[in-house]
Amino acid sequence: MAEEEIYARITEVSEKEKEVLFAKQNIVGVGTGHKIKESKDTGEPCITVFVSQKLDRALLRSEDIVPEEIAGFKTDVVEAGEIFAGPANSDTERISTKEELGIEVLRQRIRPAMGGFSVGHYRITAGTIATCVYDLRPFPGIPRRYYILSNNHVLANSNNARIGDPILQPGPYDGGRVPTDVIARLSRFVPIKFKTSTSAPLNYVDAAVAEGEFHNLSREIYWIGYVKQVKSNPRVGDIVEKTGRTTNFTTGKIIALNATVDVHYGGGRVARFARQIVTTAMSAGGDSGSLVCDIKEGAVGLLFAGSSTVTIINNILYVQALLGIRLHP
Amino acid sequence: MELSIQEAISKVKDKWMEIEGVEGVGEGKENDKDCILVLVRCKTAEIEKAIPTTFEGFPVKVIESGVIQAQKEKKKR
Repeated sequence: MAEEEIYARITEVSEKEKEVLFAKQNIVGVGTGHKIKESKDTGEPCITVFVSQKLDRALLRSEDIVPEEIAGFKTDVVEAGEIFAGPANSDTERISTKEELGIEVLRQRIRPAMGGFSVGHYRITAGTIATCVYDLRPFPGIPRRYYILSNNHVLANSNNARIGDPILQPGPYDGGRVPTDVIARLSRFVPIKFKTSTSAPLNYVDAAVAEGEFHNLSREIYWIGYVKQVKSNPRVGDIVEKTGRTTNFTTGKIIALNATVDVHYGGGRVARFARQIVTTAMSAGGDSGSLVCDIKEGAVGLLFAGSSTVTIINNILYVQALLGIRLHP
Repeated sequence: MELSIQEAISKVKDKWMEIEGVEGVGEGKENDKDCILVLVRCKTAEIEKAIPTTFEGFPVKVIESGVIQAQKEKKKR
């Protein structure tokens, strides 16, 4: 089978097995990835199962154990922590039609909102909309909800938020105000586990979704267009692109994969992230949440951190699996 | 037996991440060959001493990344 066929087949299988898997204790997400053995990426496509906590087999009830293989595909169990979720408040806010002046287009108010533009939880400064997405299931079928995708630290104020909090487009720093500029309500986020003096828990994504009204959300990304596929196997050397609220359209080159990185969140808080993609510098403060794509509009990851010389990106497969969302089709 | 790049990295990653000034460790490439990429805040004599130039046969490339920060807009209004 061609590689793409294998991934499609795995997606099909994990789709089918999801009910069974989610019935097990501890399971918080299912996705497609590569089998990692003793921190080694074997390159073998597998079903990645995210659990809140990795436990010794002896401590699990037999029905809670994830089988080593499902329908002929290996499984990989990854510890991801609890994922906060809750019903979103779907208050419809009045939409203002006031014209914004300014030269920085991505910091302006726009309806429908689209990828690349400013967004933020009402208590933060501003970040970027990756794109708009929908529930992983039912598929195929009628999605119940539509969301804006961005980072936890953009939509959920680095864990300091409540489900249903207003999300503003543009973000507060760019003039967004409650209630006129409310585009969505915080729906789900993957909590960031910060380092303590004694432990360095591993994070995989800094991601969240906020539910909005379908007619207010476009999944086009300014200057990039529409996501054409989800790229499962980025390589070192690949050229990638993003559109973000601060540095606009930029390109970069992947310089490392499966990276472990310490990220500073301000106020002395540091979080360790594993399995990250590192690129040459292609972002600055305010670009957090941008969707990074290859040059054929294949989604590679969610931009969330960087320095003057590098940019750090969460693998999009983990983002989809942990939030239970779909970017494409 | 020779280690793969992933095995080599997993062997030292935790130790190197504990070194003051090391911000990240990952799989990189140098002249199309696998290498261990180490991101450091800035290159210092201590880091030069602590990080070898090769590990388990893989070249170790140290690059200055500065501090890596979450990238929301930093300024407050």
